[in-house]
Amino acid sequence: MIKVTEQEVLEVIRNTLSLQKDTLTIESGAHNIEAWDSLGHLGILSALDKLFNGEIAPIKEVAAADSVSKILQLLDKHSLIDTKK
Amino acid sequence: MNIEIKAIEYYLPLRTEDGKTLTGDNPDWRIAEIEQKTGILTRHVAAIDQTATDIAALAAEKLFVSGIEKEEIDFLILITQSPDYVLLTSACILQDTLGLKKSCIAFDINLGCSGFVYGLAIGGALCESGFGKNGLVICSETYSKYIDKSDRVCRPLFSDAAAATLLGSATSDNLGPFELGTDGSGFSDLIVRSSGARNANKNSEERRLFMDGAKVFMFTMDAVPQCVMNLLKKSQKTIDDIDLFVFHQANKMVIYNIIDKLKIPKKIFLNSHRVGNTVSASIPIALKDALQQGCLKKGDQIMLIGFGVGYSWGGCLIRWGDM
Repeated sequence: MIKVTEQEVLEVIRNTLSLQKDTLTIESGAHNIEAWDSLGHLGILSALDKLFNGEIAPIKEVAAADSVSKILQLLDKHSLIDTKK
Repeated sequence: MNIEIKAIEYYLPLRTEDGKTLTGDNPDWRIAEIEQKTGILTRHVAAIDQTATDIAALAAEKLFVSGIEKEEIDFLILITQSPDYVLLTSACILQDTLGLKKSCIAFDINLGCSGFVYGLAIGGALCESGFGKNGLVICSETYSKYIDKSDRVCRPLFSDAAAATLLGSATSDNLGPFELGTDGSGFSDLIVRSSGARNANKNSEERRLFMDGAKVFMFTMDAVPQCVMNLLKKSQKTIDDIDLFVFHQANKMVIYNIIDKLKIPKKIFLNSHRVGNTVSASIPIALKDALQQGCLKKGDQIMLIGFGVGYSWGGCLIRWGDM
């Protein structure tokens, strides 16, 4: 099973939404990032699935995770976050 | 199965909508971004008084103009989720409209984007079991009638169209195997909630198409690669053995995700930029376009994969014939 750090997840979301550095924090989400609209969200899901080599697709709850904190919580719940690094 | 696709014709409604149309109705939409991600630039919209049965007839008549005899049609399978009436099989109306013989078997299949593959499976099985030698599998949809002008999720994607496919007995094994599946737990993610007996008295909002794009996308990312791999295993083939993959033309983002996951190199056909997501009609329309653009030749091994509303999915292999 692939594990990544919180920072790597943030970087993938930032790159997918073409955001400037430091504009994405743990507080960010569809509610305060304009590019995180419905299509932006699909882009994030696709990028995360790629990051985790296809292990995200079966986790259906990720579809509704529309903020950084919700995504990190879900990934952590499924033991996909590396907390040791 | 000793069955082959003998002919395909399609009809696209004359009225089209592009980015300008969408921003005219919705000035706040970032249309360039939507088009870049979906890859869909133009969609067709049926006239107010034009139904899926009407455009199905127009597609089928093109087959008959090309020399196919109506007397030869033993069955008619109409795949649609936009029937003229909830209670009345649209295929029966179509049998009469087209002037097909009264011994013709006619029925509807209520499936969306997986529908064409199911139509091939059932049509092929009808031929193989002696119910007829030739039949029509017609995919026809007018989702536009369920979509509000301000619906940013559905309107940029779905397009109205009909495709008529002549299926018939052959002397060699050209169709199959199939990989069909269902996961009804996702039924509420793509639905017109008050389109039938349940919720019949709900307000007009409930009569519109609802799609939870993120959930449908997750389903696609999970189910479609598995369907492809299961089909390859079942047929004892590898990706390299397939000459062309024709996926349901959902949109660019979905298809690129699938081919990225499966590492399919440049062996896909895409035409959704021109015709949009035409639901069950998308695969036969793509096959016809691929043929006309020289992307198909006799003997090619093609994989067809449909997936979507239900959730439902279906894949099959076809060996391209003389069409």
